Amino acid sequence: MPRKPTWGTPTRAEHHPPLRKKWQLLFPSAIAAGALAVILLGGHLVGARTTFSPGSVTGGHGNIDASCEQCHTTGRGVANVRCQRCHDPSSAGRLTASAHVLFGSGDPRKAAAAPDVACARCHVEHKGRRASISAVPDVQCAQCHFGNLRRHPEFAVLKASTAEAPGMNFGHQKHIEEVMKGQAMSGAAQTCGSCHQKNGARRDFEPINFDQHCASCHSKQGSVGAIDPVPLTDVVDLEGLRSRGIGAAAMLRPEEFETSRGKIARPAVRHRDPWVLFNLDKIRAESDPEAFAGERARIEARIASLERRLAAATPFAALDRAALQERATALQRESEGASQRLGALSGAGDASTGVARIQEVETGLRAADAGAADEVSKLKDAASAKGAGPAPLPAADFEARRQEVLGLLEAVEAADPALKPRTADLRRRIVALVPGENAADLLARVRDQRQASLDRLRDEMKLRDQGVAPPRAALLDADRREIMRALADARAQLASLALVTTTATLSDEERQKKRETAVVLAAACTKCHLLKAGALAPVRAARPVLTRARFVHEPHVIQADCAKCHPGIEASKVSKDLNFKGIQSCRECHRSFQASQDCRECHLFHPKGVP
Amino acid sequence: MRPKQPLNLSIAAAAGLVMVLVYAIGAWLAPWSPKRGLGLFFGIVASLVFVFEMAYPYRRSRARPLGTARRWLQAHVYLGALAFLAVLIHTGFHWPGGFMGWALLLLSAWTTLTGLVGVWLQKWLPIVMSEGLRVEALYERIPALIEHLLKEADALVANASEVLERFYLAEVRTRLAGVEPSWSYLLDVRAGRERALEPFRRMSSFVDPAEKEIVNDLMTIRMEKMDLDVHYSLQGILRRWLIVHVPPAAVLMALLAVHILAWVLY
Repeated sequence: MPRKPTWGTPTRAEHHPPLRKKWQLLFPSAIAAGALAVILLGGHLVGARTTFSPGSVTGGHGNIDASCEQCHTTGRGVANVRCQRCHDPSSAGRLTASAHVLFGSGDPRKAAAAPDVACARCHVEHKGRRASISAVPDVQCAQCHFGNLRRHPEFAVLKASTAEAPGMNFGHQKHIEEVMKGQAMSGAAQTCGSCHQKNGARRDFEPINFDQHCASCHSKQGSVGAIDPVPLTDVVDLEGLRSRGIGAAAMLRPEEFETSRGKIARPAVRHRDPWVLFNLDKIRAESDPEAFAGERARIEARIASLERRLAAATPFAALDRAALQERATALQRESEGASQRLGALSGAGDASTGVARIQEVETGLRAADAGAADEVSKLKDAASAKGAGPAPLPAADFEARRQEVLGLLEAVEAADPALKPRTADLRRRIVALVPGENAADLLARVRDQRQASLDRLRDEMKLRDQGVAPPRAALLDADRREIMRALADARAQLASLALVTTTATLSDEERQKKRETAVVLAAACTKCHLLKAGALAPVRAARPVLTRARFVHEPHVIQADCAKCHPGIEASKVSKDLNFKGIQSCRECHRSFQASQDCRECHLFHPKGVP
Repeated sequence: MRPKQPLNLSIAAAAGLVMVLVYAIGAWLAPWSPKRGLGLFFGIVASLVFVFEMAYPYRRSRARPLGTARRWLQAHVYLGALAFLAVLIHTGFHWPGGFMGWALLLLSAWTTLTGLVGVWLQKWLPIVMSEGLRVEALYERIPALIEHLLKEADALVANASEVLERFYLAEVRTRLAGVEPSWSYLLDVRAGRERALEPFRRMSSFVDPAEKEIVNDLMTIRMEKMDLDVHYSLQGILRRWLIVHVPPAAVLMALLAVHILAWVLY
């Protein structure tokens, strides 16, 4: 009989099969996973930090990849002070959100009200060695600004009715014609390169320079013109110039001067003639001492600010614990002083005290003179009305008042040199004032700055205690070099102004005569330069006009003629013509699938290092 | 392969869609960051779901609050898939930058993938085995059943001719002596069957008519043995796929703990 094929279960079990062991997989897995976690944590404690990290830091931060404490504070994430420690060693505060607002708007009140933004919000780390930490997405900019290039407003420099002139009388039309004639060129487009020469390193154009671009026509014999006779009483002669130790006077020879009947003339003057420049400064100091004092005060304030930053940029590595503590104490004192002054200011400005006093006067007058009492009553109502108080001065009046006060300070300092430290301090404070801003705002700003510096110093001391290495000296040196360069320039400017000393007080008529002398003295210069308030206006020929963005010409000029963006340049007759179409010309190429529309392609978030 | 609970699939798909929409709108309105806002929220959600997923072994002893083991399984599967989506959204659909990021992402992906593969195996293999095999057997009993078949075959050839006995010893007994699992059964449960039976057909043409019945019986035993081999192979896969799912999930939890600790500390 054949065997039957089996369907289903072949036979009954003789015994129950063994049950599967519960947790047989989970327990060993959990133990292994726990061991792994312990190994990772242990590794972190002994210095194997990269396993803890969500990703490698960018290449520039590679040397601190395994030193979390350089950037992170336990339980507080990444504080801005840790970024500023290396990237803003001079405590300029240029990396803060308020610096960005000030850079964009120029309004310190708006800047002071700007929210504090963490650096790490925009600059995201741990995205790999090759990631760009500065590649901030447009959506970040769109939090406050327009969302895309289509909605980009027209450039401020074009919108403003008073576009900044480059300080010269200059018309492109005449120059293009001359260059075409002189170099036998057939089209205006060919002439651009004659003056706007490429600078390979910056991928843009060299700034226009007299010796390089103008002298061949405007100073063929080494002279830019002549100066008619001016009274010797208004100017100093060559001897006077040399006696003041002006180095550039060495290039002048006595035969270049013609003196007769109490007047001095120059048949030929060179570009940047030291005699002309010095005497223009002298005449300005005499005819408009307030403006001169204002200029000097601004330079002094800038020097003080730069010196402060230079001191703060001293590498912390060079400071011992005691020096750090000393600096912290000084900052603490300054911060508390500002707070106290703020408190005193708010008490002095209490409107209710004044109103109460007016009420007393009204009560006293009521019996004797009802009419006067009514007037006082009106005054009281006006004083107690909401929003009452002195209206801020218009900007022009503010500037005039400031120059007046600075002029008085000059006089005080001249009368008693012992008061110089005090006048210097007052001068700095007056220069720091902004039209419409009250003293409390200024003091609050100072207090906040000191507090920020103090926070940073305390953090540094904490890091010192933890044994965290200081930033590399090279990081600090770059900033220090920039500050020192700016400081040297400012000191040189101040030194040149210091040579001009005048204590005489002139009548209005005498001042007017001096101004007329200045016009004659600057006649050779004013063929091209502008004379404003007795001083030659600073020249900004062919400098970038976009203040909040950068534009590099090289990639643009290889794709199109200059005339594409600067139409009508060949017919331009005045220097303040910008001759470019504005944002529309950008949109012609910067659109989808053609050229980048990223904000960071053109815009800077942080202002540049030393202004 | 239709889902047992289509409603749950619909709910999970809708939830996934909502999550992606939230991400799209959130990333359009503000820069996406895993460290704050919605990015952090999705990270926390994914972590909590992973912790819940690790409680799956409790489904039998303490099925509450989900009521039944089946509901727990449904939640395990769909929430696990959504948790992986939450991980991707947490990262902003960007590649990670370092060891920990990659380890967390790959382990999340691996655990989710092996879980879904497991679901598919649990659905597909029982159907394949019931449709393609005649024999059914508990995994633990298969070695005993094979031993029983061997004894039955030995008894059949005890009094057979020398030719048949030689054939049995040379070509049959060795194949009956133990379990022979094979991955090829995953592709075809009847794989190699025709080739295995060919010697029996050849042999039946050489033996006496009286012994042909023995050869046929040996052939049915061999077929039963092959069915048991298939069961052993496929049931083994059904049990062992957890090896590629559970330990990586445990490692994922360990790294997740380190990741959370790093976030809290730094």
